[in-house]
Amino acid sequence: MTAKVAVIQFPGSNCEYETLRAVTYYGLPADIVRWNTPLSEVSRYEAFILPGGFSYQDRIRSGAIASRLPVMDEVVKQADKGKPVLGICNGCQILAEAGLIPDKDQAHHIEAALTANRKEQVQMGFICDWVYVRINRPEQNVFTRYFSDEDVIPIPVNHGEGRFVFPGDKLPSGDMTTITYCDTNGKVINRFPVNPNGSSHNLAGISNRKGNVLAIMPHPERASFMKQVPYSLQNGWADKKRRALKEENGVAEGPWAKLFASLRDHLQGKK
Amino acid sequence: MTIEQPVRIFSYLKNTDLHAVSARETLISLLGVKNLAVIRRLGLFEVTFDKTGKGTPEETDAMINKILTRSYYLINPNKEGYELHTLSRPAALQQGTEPTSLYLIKVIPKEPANETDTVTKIRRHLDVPVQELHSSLLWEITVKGNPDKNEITTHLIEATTRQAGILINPVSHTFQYLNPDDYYH
Repeated sequence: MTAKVAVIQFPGSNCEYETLRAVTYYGLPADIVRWNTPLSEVSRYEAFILPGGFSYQDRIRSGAIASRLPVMDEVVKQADKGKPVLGICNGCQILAEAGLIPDKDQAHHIEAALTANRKEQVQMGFICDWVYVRINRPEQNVFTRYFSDEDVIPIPVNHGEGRFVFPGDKLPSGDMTTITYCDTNGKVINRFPVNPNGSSHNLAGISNRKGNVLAIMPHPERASFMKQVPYSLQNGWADKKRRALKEENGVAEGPWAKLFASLRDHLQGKK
Repeated sequence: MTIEQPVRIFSYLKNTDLHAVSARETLISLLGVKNLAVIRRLGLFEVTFDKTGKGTPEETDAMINKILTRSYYLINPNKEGYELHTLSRPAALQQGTEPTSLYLIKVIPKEPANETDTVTKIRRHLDVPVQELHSSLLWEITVKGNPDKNEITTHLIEATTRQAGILINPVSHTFQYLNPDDYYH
């Protein structure tokens, strides 16, 4: 079957293989597409994922150089046509530097920054942990439409520059999908450890206005199978994992399987 | 005679600075800035000492050298060099017959980091009476010709779209042109 999804591999990307695995396991043929692939080949894909990693070693600024590559000219062009684009972690940073999110005026101006993590106003360095998020207006984005706004979903974070910053500290207005850090009960508390990096408005991810682009700092591909979920998680997830693995003999859908299923169904024309 | 404060410490990587290499390559190859000659990245530490502390130039330099050689709080001397007070003029300006222009840009975070932790450690562990510390990033840019500052701002520095500018993201940072006469010897 012809691959439908391009997982773009930049120099320094390191999550492309597990991202590919999540996409293909949930039913979509996909390719890892190198950053210097001829643009005529890139354009034939129906969706694009910018995976996590350290493209160009985060030189100058995370995502700054990758966002200016010719392959991103094509990704921007295809996003403008309405094709789904997902940016995970470094991919989220690239989308912000490319002006693809939040893109409130749809002119691809740079309207957000991902900066160094902070804890109580002090720089805190790299964080690697599991957190919880909830999705606001999930129905507005092609990747999150299968979630509910009451879901409290565990997901791992693994970044040093994940703090969202907006002009005037104002979240862009409009009914865009946003993903916010919360506690195990779904309460959005703007303090560490619920907000793991000091992100403005506890933001973990944001959509564009059209709803076909999603930028998310945590890693959904690392929570797409139940075996990836640690037993130490609260809120019943450890029990869910034990039951699921017992019943399904080793492979069971994880908390973020719905993101990949939603993309699959969208590309297959299912509502 | 007391030294003027804050005291400036300029740091640079002794080996190849890959950030600067990539900045130059990206500006020329991807963003079309063909008149860019050299770009260099520096760190700037502005240190203010207690007014009750000693302040002659020799004593101030001794305190700075104590911080720089007996700790890693500001620089790692294994890989970073430094100059105190003022910088040497870049070689690109001194060679060649083509006219060139020099710009020194200070990158300023809109939400400055709290550096009291570092100040406390210097005071406690080194017994050096630092009162304030501000660290920032400098970009030293040498271009051919004499372009307008607006051109430098738009095409090199301020990234408002992905097509022009890269050195700062104006959502999180602002910048300042420093007067080279005040910063170079």
